[in-house]
Amino acid sequence: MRKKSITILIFLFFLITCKKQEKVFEANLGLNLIKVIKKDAEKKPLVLDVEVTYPDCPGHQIEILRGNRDFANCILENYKVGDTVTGSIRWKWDTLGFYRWQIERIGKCERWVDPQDEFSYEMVEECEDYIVYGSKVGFVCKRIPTANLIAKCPWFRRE
Amino acid sequence: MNFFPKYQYWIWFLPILLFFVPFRSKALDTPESAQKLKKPISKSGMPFTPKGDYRSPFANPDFGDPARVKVGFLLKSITGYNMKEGKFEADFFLSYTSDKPMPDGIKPHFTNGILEDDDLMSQIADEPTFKLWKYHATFFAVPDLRNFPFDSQELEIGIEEDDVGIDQIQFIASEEYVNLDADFIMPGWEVRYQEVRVLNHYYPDRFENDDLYYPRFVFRLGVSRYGTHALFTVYVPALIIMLIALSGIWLRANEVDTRINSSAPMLAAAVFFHYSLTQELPPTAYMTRADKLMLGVYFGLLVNMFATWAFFFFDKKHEDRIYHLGRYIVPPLNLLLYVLGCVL
Repeated sequence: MRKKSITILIFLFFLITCKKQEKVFEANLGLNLIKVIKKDAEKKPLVLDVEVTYPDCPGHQIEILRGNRDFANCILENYKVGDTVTGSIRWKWDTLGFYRWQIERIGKCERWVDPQDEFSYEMVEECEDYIVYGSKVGFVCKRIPTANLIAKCPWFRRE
Repeated sequence: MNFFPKYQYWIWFLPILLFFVPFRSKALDTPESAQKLKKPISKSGMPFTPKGDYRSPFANPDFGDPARVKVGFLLKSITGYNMKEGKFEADFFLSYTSDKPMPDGIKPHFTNGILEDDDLMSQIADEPTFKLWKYHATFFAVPDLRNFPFDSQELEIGIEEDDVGIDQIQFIASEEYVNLDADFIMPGWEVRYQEVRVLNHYYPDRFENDDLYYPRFVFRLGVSRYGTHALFTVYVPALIIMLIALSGIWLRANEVDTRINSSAPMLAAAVFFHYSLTQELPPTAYMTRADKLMLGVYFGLLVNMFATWAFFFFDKKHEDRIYHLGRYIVPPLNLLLYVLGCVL
């Protein structure tokens, strides 16, 4: 009886505490905007923002990524607005209580994610029109990734 | 002694002039409304619009086709969400962009909220075809607590033009310009969806010829409480209370005092816990999920107490049977009541 109870408790402990291992995904990224935010004294790019979309994922996702000098130089040399490139996305558990993703590479440009970064922005939504009596009166945008989105783009899974 | 040697005569008119200043400034502040109401007067004394589709004094048939106004909305933050009072504070930008000049005197008003101070609104742009405001206002939303603590709430912000009807402006919901700010966060809540509806609102008659429809923009933010938080702050403590109360069931009749002491204080603990849960909520006509759970816990504690009182009700020769029956019946029954409290 005591052994059974201990086994159950250990099982419950692992059930509660265990998390999925982090994964790295490859995905197509659309480059919507490339903008130098800050230049050094010699007018060379120091900080760069890139707005990316996920053309293969259902719904509407926009992410603004900020990168350092190396990232800025690489992006400006190799890519332009409108290009679609392959990117590398790391999906991992966050101690805030959910999984999150980070784009670590765009094409051949590695991106170092500064832990102090407050500027990067991500928005994931799937919108549909609100139709009443055949007339559009508005819209609703789901902000929680749907099963359909997660099936095609699993890095958006948060829970 | 003469203090006003040069102006000694007209100085006596100064109080009279000062008396008229408030009336004059008020008249200058509201030229549109004064002009709008220059309409023919019906026999009953009510101004009305003699031509066009609407008889309302606020109608303007000379305006031509209504201005199609794209409404932009950016929610910066929601703070001070108080479920008990059903109110929250919202900080947001609101923009109107139209294909033709909008009527004069456009001023949004909130259908379910108040602007507590004029300083909490600033108009950033005021062009004939583009207007931008920033607001910090208080809004009211009745919470739906049936699923508390796994509840989802809908926070609504309603905006309407109260003296310009759909004959002059029509709102258009624009997906592109309705957003949450990049760092938008609502502590303790997860954003599930945002919704926008544009309505033509009709008021039941407030006065004669009140037949004009008014454009209304409704923004709704769907939020839900974090499930893990609800689990660990409500369901786990309730289970622990039940388990501690159950611990006495393994004590025999000769330790009945200890047995009672292990379960009776748990009733007080459960009541206090339930009381603390309901403190943040308004009274409701229905039971929340937390209420049902606590009801399960109360009944579990009651069963537990009955199992102990049985020692006093029946003869001493049955003590062993009561003890064994209690051990085998009460824990599964408690578990069943807890589960029923969770799922019902």
